[in-house]
Amino acid sequence: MKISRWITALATSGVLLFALPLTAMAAVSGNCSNCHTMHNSEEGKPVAYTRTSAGEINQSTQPLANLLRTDCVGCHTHGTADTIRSEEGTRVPIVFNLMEPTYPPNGSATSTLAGGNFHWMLTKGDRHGHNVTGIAAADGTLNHAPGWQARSGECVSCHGTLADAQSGCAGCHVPMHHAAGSGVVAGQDHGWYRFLGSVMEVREGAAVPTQGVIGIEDPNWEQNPASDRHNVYQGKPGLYNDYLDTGSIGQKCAGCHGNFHSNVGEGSPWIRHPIDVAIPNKGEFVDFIDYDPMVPVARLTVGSGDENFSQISRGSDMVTCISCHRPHGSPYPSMLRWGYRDWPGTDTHTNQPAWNGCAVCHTYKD
Amino acid sequence: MRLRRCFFAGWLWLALIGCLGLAVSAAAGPYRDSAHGNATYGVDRSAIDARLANYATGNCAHCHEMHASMGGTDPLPAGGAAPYTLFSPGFNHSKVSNTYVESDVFCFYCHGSTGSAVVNESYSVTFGGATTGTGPQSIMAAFNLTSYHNLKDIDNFLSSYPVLSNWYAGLGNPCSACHDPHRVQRNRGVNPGSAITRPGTGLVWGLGGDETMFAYSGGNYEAPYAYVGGKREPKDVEEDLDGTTTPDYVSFCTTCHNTSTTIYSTALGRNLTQINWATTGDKHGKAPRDGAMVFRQPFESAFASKSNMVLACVNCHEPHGSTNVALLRTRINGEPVEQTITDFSQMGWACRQCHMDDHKIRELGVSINVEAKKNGWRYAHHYAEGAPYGSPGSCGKCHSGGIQNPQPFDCKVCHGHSMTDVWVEQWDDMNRYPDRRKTF
Repeated sequence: MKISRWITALATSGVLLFALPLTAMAAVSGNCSNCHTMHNSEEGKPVAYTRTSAGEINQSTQPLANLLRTDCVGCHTHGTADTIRSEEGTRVPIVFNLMEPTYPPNGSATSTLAGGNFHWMLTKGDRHGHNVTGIAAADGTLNHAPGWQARSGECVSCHGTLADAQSGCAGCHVPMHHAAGSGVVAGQDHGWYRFLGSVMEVREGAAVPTQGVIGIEDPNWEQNPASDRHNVYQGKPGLYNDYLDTGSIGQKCAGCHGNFHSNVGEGSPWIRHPIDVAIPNKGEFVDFIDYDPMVPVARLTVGSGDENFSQISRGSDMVTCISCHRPHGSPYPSMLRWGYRDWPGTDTHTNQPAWNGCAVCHTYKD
Repeated sequence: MRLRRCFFAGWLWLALIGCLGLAVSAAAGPYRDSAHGNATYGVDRSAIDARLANYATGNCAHCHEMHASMGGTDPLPAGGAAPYTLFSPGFNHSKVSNTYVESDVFCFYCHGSTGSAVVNESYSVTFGGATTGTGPQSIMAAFNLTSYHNLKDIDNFLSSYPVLSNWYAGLGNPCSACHDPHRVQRNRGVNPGSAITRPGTGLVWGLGGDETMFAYSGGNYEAPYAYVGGKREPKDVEEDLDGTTTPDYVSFCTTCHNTSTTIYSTALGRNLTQINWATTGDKHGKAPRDGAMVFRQPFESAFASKSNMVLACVNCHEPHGSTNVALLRTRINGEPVEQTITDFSQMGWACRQCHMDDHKIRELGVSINVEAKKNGWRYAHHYAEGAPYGSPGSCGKCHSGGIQNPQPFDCKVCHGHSMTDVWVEQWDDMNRYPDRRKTF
């Protein structure tokens, strides 16, 4: 019963993920019919559809909840390599391209967006993205999210795998496409940054999560990122106490990969790479000056004026999970943003000398 | 027309950006210049965990684990997360003396006998001309010899030495005090770099400029033989007589071993002798020479042109360990030391590599009434020009065995860092030798 309420809430809020423009307005715009179908019938034929894990369209004679034409994967998948799909006033960020998108992002129409792309799950396997239902089956190696213990019961549907009908995209996202917040900072009134509200609150019965990730979104989802044109993510030092009380994007990840945040030691020397910890204003870090969208940092208490900041604030800006990882997927194992394994050799994806993302912060280690 | 200009300008920009990109990608940083970060011969943990074979040689992951997890399990050697995100703890602080095993020192996983088992030979081999394979074949093996640079002693000293303790606290591994793992370079082969980094800065030391023995000595360094009569140290350098390619080991070592530090030696059970290599200190340093030097080559020939030769610490000492006491090298000045030195009383076996003992002087055909005895020093002490105890008259005053069979003193009675021959006063009731000399 609880799960069905949760699904209803998700569906009611729409499925068009990632459509939050910079200015205050509903996350989704354009004709209603871009997303909805009143009778699942046009010219006597069904409209609704889902996609197979290979991206093929399955027309559905059964209407989908909330009169939607398709589900998350159906909408945010594209048969070409274009990473933004525009349709009668609706712009849809694509997170699963059937044709290979461009990586690293280069500003072209096929440039991979900030969260990465599930494409490489399809072509390279489990290590290249989160195994999300509709795109991939459960991981062939992992039986639970690394960084935490195996779970049982209903917890498995997220902490065991996202390749589960009870989770999938909704294991991380609480879509609220019609939320119409004000200001540049995506918080609760926007349905949270990237709709990354607290899934657990919804599972526990809340219609709308009161906790979620806070940030500022580039209007083109970083299709053409630069040091002064990028998303802004909130971070928060210290241990987390609740589901997403800090607004930190790292806390979202820690929901499943908790030890990678909480069990890192209490300071230098760290036993794991710290997450949501300020970049020191000393040593090799003093040469880390310009914001690099390939290695983003999180900012404490994101507010108006933080949009597109081009220089980092050492001592307060933080390293976070997505400094190194793209949660949807990348051409590299562990969803890493760059060819970490390949450096200092040849990048196996680009066939160019591998780039050392570590050295963006660890400037002496290049 | 305007469009075409735009197009052309665009290509110009693209070309410029391309050039810049190439320039950036071609510029190696200190890590890629290091022995560990080299893409060809750098660090590689795949012999310990085969999964690391998927990582480029020199990659961070061969030493570091960001989350102590790879595919959901801790890569080998398993043991959980460790400080500095290393794959195992940097140093076993409870290990107060050798014998070391791999798990005692993080570095030994590769610089030991297992894993990738990097071959690192002694200074005597690498620079001194000894035959490859004749000494320890790894750093760990060197540290497990008779005398060694006790890692716990280093750790204790650096943790408590105010000048370096804050800096050292950021390292967590005594090896890193002299070898910053992200900077140390391969010091052999083509275009050799320097494998040492200066304590306190962590920067590569000894590659030129003010950081060579030539600079330290003011041109008074005379490189010892790697092969008698042939190449000098370091052996891979074609011609270096005056230390222009030898790091300034004196400044390097005296960062710790100086006149203001107190360093306890577990092996000796006492504090180490303080080292004074300045003009106020030892004669093997910058203090002026006096009396009988009885040099062997190449120092005998250099004597004329070099006013006051200065030795580098590594001319006599191994940095990591030795089968001799006091980390004394097994090959000095182009020849093997003929006997293992198990006690300081036998130190003359090292001295005779550069100074003429009675055997050497007789070999030269000098007509003198002394037995041609190896490690015999009667000529140097009593008969050579400028000998400190010339014309003694009565052997029995000082030597047991009397005139019939005078027994030599232990070398250690007089010779060692900072020592003088003050002991003579207790025997010299005739005041034949009123002037005290430095004896080292």
